[in-house]
Amino acid sequence: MDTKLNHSPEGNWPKRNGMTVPNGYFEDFTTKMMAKIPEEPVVIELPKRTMWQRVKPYVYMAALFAGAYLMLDIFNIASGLRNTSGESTVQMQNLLADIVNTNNQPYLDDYICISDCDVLDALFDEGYEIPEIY
Amino acid sequence: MQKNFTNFDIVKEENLTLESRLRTLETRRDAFAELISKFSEPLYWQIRRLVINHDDTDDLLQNTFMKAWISLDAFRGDAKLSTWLHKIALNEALTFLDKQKRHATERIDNESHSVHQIVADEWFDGDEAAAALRHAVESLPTKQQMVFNMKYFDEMKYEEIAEITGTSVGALKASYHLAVKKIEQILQSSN
Repeated sequence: MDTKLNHSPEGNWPKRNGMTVPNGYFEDFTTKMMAKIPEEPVVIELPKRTMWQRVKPYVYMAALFAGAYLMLDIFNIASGLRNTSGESTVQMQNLLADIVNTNNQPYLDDYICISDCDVLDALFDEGYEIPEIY
Repeated sequence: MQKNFTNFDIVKEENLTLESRLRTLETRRDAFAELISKFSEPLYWQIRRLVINHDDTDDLLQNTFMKAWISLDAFRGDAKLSTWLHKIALNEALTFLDKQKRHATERIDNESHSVHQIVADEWFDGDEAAAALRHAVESLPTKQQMVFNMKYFDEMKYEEIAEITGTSVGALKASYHLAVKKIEQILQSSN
């Protein structure tokens, strides 16, 4: 091996990498390539979008929001945030009254670890009136 | 025989004429044949230095021009024709090498041919020095090889390479500098 190559900076390295091609390769390449090129340029036509395809994203978005609202309503979260009189408020009052009923005392104490008094105080603060009182 | 390409720029006027003829349906085919004649050799060597094998290079070169033909209407003219073609060619080569890596049985990424294998190659007629340099260059990561080949063998300006690769001039200079250091180390250790 040429030792000069090892110690020389890159400016002295061979510029020719030694790779070759078959005889006449480049001379024949143009003819060979043009024979493969189609007569007319290939025009890719995009399929036309139907009305449904145009409207679909908005329908899906509307369904998403409708579904989210329904889910909120099912869990009464939306109605629980309202502090005005109405049917859902009465239902909430009855539900809360039932919770603080002495029959459910063990559930109340064991599960959420607060006393009846704490619950009643919180409810009064929120503006609810409990039908049954101790 | 391999030529050294020192300048990939086509004279501006020639470029504009060729581009305008490529956009006209009546003259498109003849203009494309002229495009192939002008660019087939530099693009061939661009691909061959990465892919190494002549037959693979031939396939990829044909794919390059086929894609260029199909995308002629999409060519906006905001880049030079040569830059556009080089991008397609390099993309073809890199995609091919990625596929090769995934299906590799004998060669693993960064595992280059030995000097003896290179000298014994049917399509190699260089001396041992050229073989040693090629062996060292093949040891570089593919994208670094690409930058080194364009800078060292094709003597392209960093700005031209930046247009093709989409990399900054600073990053290219750093990549080339590191490539030179690695090659020096490989050549010294192989002695």
